[in-house]
Amino acid sequence: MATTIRFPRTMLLASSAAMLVSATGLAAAQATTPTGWRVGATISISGENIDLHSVAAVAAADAWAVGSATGKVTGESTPIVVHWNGRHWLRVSLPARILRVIGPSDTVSVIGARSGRGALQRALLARRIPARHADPGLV
Amino acid sequence: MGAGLLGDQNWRLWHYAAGGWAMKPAQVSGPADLTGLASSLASVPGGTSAWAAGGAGSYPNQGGLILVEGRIPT
Repeated sequence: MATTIRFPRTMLLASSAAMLVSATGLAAAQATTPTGWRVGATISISGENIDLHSVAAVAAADAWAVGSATGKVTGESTPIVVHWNGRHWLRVSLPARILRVIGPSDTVSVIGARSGRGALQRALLARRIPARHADPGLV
Repeated sequence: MGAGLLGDQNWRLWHYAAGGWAMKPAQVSGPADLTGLASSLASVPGGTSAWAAGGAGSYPNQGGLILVEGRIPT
């Protein structure tokens, strides 16, 4: 039913750190494939299962996706945030002890929770800081 | 909002317009052996491109998946 256009393997470029696959090859090929849904990037971390559950775009060179990374052995899940800078999807570090991220919203705020004293969880809102800084700022 | 699978199956996109929802299958191109599920969409402001995010592969080997429609936003 669907016509599948097969991508050359070279379009999926695994980084040496076994972290992210860039969309550089795809961008170079877009002159011939400018429309239609296609794989922009795949994200992998050694020993982890990755699932992205939300994406938001602020501008052409500013988009965010959040999800979770679950250890294949430990089963422990940690949040993951990746950012599109116009050339690559790159992982962004999060403040310590963030347990889960729910966002981003249209304003690219990340809603999550982190552990507090007495094992309580506190709601947390993390917001990206302007300009080209990689890390989100807490508000 | 859309969700669906890569591989041999179409991606179903639901679009709200003129007071109603309509669904149409959207073809997704990618490696034939890559299966995935997209769970979120985002249009790029000021352009005609869109991003989708989800997961590809199956447990215990699942990776994050980013799809793009239209020109790569730069």
